[in-house]
Amino acid sequence: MSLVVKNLKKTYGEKVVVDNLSFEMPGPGVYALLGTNGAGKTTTIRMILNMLARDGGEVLWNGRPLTTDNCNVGYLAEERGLYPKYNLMDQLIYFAGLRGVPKAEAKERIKYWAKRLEAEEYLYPSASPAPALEEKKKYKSARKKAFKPKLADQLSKGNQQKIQFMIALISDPELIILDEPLSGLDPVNTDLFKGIIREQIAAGKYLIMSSHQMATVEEFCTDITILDRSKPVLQGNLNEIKKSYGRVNLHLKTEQDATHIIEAQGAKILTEKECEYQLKVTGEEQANKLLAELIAAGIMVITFDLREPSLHEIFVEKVGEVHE
Amino acid sequence: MNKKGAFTGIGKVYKFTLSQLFKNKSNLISFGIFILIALLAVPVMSIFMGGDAESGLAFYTEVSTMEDFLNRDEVGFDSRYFIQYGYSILVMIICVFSCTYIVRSILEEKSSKLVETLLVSIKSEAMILGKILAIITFVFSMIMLMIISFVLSYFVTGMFTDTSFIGAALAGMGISADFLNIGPGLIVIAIISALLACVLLSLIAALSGAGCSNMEDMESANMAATMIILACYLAVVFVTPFGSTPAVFMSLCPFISSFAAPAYYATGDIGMGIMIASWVIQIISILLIHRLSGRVYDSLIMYNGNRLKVGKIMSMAMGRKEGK
Repeated sequence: MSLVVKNLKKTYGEKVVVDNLSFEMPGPGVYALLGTNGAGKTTTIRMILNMLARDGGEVLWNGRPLTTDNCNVGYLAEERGLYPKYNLMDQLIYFAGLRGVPKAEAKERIKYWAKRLEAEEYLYPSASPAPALEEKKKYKSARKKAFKPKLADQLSKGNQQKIQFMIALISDPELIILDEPLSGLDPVNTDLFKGIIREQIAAGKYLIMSSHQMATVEEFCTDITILDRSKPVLQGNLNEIKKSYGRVNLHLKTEQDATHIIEAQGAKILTEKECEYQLKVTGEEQANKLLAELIAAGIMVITFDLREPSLHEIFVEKVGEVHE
Repeated sequence: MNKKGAFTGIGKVYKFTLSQLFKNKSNLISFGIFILIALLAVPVMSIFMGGDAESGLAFYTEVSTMEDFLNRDEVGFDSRYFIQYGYSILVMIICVFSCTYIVRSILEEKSSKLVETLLVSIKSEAMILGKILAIITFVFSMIMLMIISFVLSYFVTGMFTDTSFIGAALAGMGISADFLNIGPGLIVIAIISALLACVLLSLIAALSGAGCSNMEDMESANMAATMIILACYLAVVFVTPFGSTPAVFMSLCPFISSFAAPAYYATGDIGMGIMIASWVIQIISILLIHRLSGRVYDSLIMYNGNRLKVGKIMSMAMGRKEGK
């Protein structure tokens, strides 16, 4: 299976919103669409899903135009929503039905995902323990309330997001598109979502992810496109991109002040705090030389971590370059 | 996405929307109140007017006896006016109800940001059509149940007290099965025409609703359809005094014909041929508007901004897609 996005273009009047965007996913994995606000990420996703008419280009799944006939798609939109006053279970069964999942099968899957996402108490209120009340009357009314099915507007934003994530995954999709999947989640739920994303990757799914959280994207994705003002400014395999930048970031921690040696070696100090430095070096050679000098000067080195630039740094540099 | 077909999923949207309408508490309360009014109308009227058919007659008309009325040569102004007035006001109520529900339903989905999630699985046209059909079913069920309740109440009350004042009052208004085309056939004709009017105006209401983004715009979104409904109703009521001369024109005029034709058929001003022609014209109008609206639903449903004017929507329908 493969996903090919070829020369996608979208304009609103004179304004070009997505300009000739192409990328390919020859195999399962995670493709990241990154960009500044308004760069065209969501528009690209909407065009891939054919919600928006394209002004050019095509999207192929296994060499054929992407349709729900030939590709089972799961989508978590950036603008997430649920029917605020409808029973959650009804909504999930409805969305599953629209994705072609029979009711009985949908119920099984909902049960699985409710457990996996720790959302059972909202979907199966009878499962939640009734509060211990001494008075019989109060107990009865509390039980009645506890057994009432939950409505979407009774849930917190994070818990609503769990339900929306369930909707995206309920048809067991082969192509999953996640637009800002972790925004607004607390650390516990973030880890929960990350765990599920990892499972989907391990299951050989194709994921397209759009996010502003670079660390998260870096954690999952194999290939990226950075968009800026509708144009792709950097594309390719993330490891290859990082390698091309070389190992130029040096995290150094010493027992004594090493500023004079660092300066003498020509390394650039980005930050400095109590003998802990973030340095920019020209490459491995300069870093090795610096380490040798530090040892020769009798300075105790606690941390010496030479690494490639992070995705965040690459992003800021690339987008900054364009803006200059 | 290129969905399986333009109409795939209509059944699921229909079933879900209808079930949610019947689950809605305020809808059920309104339903209950209307049925209660219909059930109580005859007994209450019989308390005040029963037992004396003459008093009922005198209350409504100057025609003093049934004999005088039946001896008239042709369908008079009273018959024509009351039949037309009664029928068109019923159609107007049904259409206003349907259009209001449709606008609310579409805006609810747009404002709760559900549209994108829905559009992965279903075409916007199918989604809107499913909704329209469900809402029309709901409104018709409500009206039918009211009528059935009224008829039931009439017969049950008739077992205990004199209800002839109702027949007398209707005859006084010139409404009598003895010389008008009133019978089961007319009921079927009226239902078909009302249904067609409802579908046609609901399509306009759906377009108007899709051109808005939040619930605050609901009132103005309702305005377009309400204005057309009012214009149709007023045209019919104002033309009625001119007798049977404009009957054919009114019966073949798109939009207006559903408000006029069944009443003209009842008064014998048009025959079955013109009646069928009127339906054909309504169906063609529905198909044309559905086709035009199909061009813009995709763009409108994703539209997020100030309410679009009808003129703008129409220019979008006639021209190319736009969006924001």
